Amino acid sequence: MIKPPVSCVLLADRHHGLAEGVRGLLESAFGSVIMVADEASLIEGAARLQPDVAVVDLSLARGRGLDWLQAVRGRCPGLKVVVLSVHDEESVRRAAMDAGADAYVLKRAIATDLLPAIEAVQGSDR
Amino acid sequence: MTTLDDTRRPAERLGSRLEFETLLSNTSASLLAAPPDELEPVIERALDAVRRFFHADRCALLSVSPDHQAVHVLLGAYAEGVVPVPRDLNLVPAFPWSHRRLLVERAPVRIEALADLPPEAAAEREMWLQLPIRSALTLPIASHGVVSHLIVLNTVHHENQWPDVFVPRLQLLGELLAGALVRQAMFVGLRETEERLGSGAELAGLAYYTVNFLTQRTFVDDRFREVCGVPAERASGQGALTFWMEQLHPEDRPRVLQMRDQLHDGPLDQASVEYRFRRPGKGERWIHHLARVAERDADRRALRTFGVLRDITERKLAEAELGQLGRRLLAAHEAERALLARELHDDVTQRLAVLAIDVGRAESAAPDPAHATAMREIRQGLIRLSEDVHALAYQLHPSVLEELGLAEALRAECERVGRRDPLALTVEIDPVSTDLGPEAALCLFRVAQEALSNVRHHARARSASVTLRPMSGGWLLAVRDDGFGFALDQRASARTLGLVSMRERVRLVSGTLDIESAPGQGTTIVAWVPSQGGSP
Repeated sequence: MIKPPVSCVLLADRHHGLAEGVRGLLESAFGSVIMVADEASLIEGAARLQPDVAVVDLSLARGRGLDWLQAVRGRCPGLKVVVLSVHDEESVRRAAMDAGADAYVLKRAIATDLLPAIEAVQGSDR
Repeated sequence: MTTLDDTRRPAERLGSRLEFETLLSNTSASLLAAPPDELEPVIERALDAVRRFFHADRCALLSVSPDHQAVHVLLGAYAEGVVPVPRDLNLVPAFPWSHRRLLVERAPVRIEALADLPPEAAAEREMWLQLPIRSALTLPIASHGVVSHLIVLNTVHHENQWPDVFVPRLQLLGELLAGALVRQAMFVGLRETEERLGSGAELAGLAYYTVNFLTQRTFVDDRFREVCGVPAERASGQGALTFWMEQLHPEDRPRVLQMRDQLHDGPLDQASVEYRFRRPGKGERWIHHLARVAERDADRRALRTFGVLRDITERKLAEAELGQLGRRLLAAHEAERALLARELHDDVTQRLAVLAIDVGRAESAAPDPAHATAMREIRQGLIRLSEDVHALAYQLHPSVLEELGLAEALRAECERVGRRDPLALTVEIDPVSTDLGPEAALCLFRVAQEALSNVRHHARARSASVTLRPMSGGWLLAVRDDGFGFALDQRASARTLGLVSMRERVRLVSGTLDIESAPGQGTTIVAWVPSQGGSP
């Protein structure tokens, strides 16, 4: 079962339409959903708000790879990070997991896979 | 075997359109890279690639005489065992109906089966049976408003569909080929002029000098002093000649002086050389220099030499511009592909994902199982559509290259190749540092992609490896396979077309490309690019 509605999730995706859609989905399960659209806001938001989970688009920092993941990990060691991506290559998934992601969800499968993935990472201890 | 009919899925149709776009850009890159005297094999390879793309048996470029009374095969590519159309056959009287449509109405002629030939084309029916032709597509190629060439595709064994969508693109390709031939004619004209210069027939306008080693006398004319910018105090013969030597560009001087020695002491009797020259008041100029030995002594040493010089800076600039054009064309093409891919990822894919979320909600809230099933099917359809869109975007441009860098992009490409073919693929990739410029990274990616595509389509390899590691201020990519290999001078195949465009890409980022292959020995393609290659 997903944690009670006191929990907070940080959603980082520069695609406004999709972020709205994901927020709708997350609000059914989380107390508060905070949306950010760039790397700097994600890192600052993670440090200030201390969310339980961050759901982040892989291509958030176009051209700078997965540096944001390391930055977020450094600031908030306990934060669970779920990466959203359009790439269905196993090698890309592995690169994200190796860089410190807790889960990897394909954008096309958000409807069915995102909430179970969040539930799974919340239940796990890093 | 795939076909090009219109009943396939949209993604597949788009896929073959993309394949044709790639063929177009490879062709234009090879045409630009080809020296004028190697243009014909490049055109034949392009025709062969087009022939294969359409699953045709003949593909030819035809020349049209200015009065439209004669059409002949200029260059052609033929499937194995298919009889070429004789080059001396005038096709106008042989195919009167088709040529009226092509040359007078300037309309494409598309015949998908012999039965489609209209009654008024009865005269050419006989030719169809004789050659034979089962189906054909012929397009007029116009330059400066006049039909100057035709491009024609035939099938011999089967009836073929010729989809409308490719007609304008094929016409564009025909224009590229015809344009290259016009450029070639221009260069040949230029060379003939140069040959006439060499024979001394057109001495006017050239700087002239003679050297007599017996009398130690050197003569230079006024134009020599003008072309080389010889200062007044050194205007005499010997002074002018030593001035010329001093002003040679330091990088070109050894080459020029070596050639001069070979001329003076044998074995050369005549030398033609182009070099850079620092002319006072005008800066760096390009000089074309022809020198000859007029007389030798018993030991074959030169006694008298003479030569002519002229300033060819304008021509050199025009040539450099042509190289720039190739680079710009390639850059524009890649930018366009990247833009389309980004549009697909940033817009279409995201909207599809939102729709899938909405439908997923409706699925959970469905009042009964029948509704839920209907919603699930829609959602699954959206997922498949997203997969197709992603595959298409990837085919256009691998956005993972910008998002995660070259190493991940290469791994993803290898994974995709592995999904389609039972190929044992080893991937050894050093983490790529950020000093690799975006153009250089894209270049290496495209080389690897093309090399792997060759392995898949031609090599019949069991295993292949991709390695990437840093080397001498740049990055070295190697793609090896254990397949058939090929003779490096083999020309008439689509794979060499790919190799030409690979080489051109690498050259444009100041890198080098080496190909090692021999029949039965497998193939290794090694590309090296400097880290900041191609970036401003």
